[in-house]
Amino acid sequence: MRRAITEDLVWLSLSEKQKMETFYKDGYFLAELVDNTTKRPDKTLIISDNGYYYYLTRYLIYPKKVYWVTTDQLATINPLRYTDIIVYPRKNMLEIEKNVHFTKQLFSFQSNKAFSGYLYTKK
Amino acid sequence: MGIIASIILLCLIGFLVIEIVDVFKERSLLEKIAFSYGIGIGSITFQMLIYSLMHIPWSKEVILLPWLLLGIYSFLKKKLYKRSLHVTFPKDRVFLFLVVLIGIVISYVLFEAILRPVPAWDAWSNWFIAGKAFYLAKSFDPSFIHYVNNSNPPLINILVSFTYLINGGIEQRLTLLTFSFFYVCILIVFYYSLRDMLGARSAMVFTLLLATTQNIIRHAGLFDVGHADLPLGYFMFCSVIFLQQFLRTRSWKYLFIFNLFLGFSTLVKSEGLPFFIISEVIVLYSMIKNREYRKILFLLVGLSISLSWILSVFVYKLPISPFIQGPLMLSRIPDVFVSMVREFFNIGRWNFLWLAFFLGLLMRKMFSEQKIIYALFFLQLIVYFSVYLLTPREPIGHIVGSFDRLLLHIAPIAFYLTAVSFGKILIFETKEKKSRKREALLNPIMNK
Repeated sequence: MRRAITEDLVWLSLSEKQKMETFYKDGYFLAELVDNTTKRPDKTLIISDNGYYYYLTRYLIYPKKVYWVTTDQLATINPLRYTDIIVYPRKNMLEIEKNVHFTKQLFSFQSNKAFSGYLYTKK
Repeated sequence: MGIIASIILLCLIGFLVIEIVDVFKERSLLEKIAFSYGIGIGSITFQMLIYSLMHIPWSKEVILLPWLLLGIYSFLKKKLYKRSLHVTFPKDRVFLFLVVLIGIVISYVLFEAILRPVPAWDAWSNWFIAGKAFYLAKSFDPSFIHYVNNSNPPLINILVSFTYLINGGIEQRLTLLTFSFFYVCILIVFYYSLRDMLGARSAMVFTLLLATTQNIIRHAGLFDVGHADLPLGYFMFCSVIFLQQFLRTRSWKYLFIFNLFLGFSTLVKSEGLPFFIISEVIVLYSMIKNREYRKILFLLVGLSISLSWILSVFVYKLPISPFIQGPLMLSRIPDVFVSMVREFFNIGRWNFLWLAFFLGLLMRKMFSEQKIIYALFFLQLIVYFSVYLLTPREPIGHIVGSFDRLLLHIAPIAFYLTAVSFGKILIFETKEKKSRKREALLNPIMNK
């Protein structure tokens, strides 16, 4: 009971942005990344086996649009349809690595490897 | 403030409808507010959906103006009676103590609801994002539905859009209050429907039990789960209350409001549609049996509300639920049955609701006037059972992940039936004990 009250008091003291960061964690940072750094969010593809990142990003940045495939489904799409491709959490995707039209960039939200990913940008 | 204003506006619109129909004349203001909220939301949803079909862009003015004119007209016609504005509470100490306890629970739920950002997947993938999309498009935007490829009835999405419109901007966290308010309304409706049968104190005891049910609190304030299930539970419960009133009084006014709630339930979630069909068939049968052929026309009210959504699905070529496509797999029956029964015994979620419900069911013969509501309840349960025989997903996993939400739709009805069963026994026993005591006291005097 006391723990719940203490936790609630912490939440009360946070700003809106801090609340989003604390609650959505890396999902929020990924949405910010897509919103701020990708060329055209409506041409951004998220490759992730966890739908959380896609659904949260889609919600937070709407009306900008994003698309999503899991790593298994990657073979079914044409990467050239997108201006930016995000692989999160970090995983080497040979299909895109081989593609000469993209440049690769590593990004990270924390020092932990689990919170880093690759951003492929069309040249 | 905009969110509170939108809740007040929704209640006012519903209140106006109740006053125009002139139903519940002598009832408490609180009870009317609890019904008004749902009628207000349903009416606004229906209005905004029709606007979209007619290509009229949404704005505060264009939505509220017809209601304002209707309000002025009703006021001039003196349809808004002073007598409707009263709240009465017994001055019993135990009763007041129970009210305080419920007040604490409600305050906790409302506080928790607005403390964190929108937490559930359902909200991101559907309810809130669609509300945001429709608000930005100033219309029910079919291109958005095609983008997310997820089509649900529009009431919750439009409720979110409406609060943003009244607020004058997107306010995601505080909008959660509009969902918690369904919880408050369910408790009020529940209390007043029981009070006439069981008395104020017993009704308040059962209301406290309902208010503290884990799964209901979870859906009312913590929102780590779906946002539309408790609202659907509210609409279904209100439909049942008005159905019961109609069956008792045969008044067209109750039939009209019943049809409003029933129609609106089909706009909340697709599970509202089978409930609509079952209820209307029951009412139709009852009307034919009583030769009330004229009243059949009132069924058109519910039907037209429901058809507004079905029409939209066809007009906009929206996707249909993937869970009801495919053949009925009868071989699943034993597994589905066992998994569903297991959920009834999940005391961590439901406290002792379902155990008490089935115990109350054993006493059904004693209090058979509730049999139509029991029939409605079980037919809806059979519908949910069949969904798991149809689903393309692995049924056991699907039940574990979703059955508690489906049960939430009918939980207020089950709670109501349970309270009636047990409350009547308690009253019956208390009266019997009292009369036995009285007899024991009186006998020596009489014998003298």
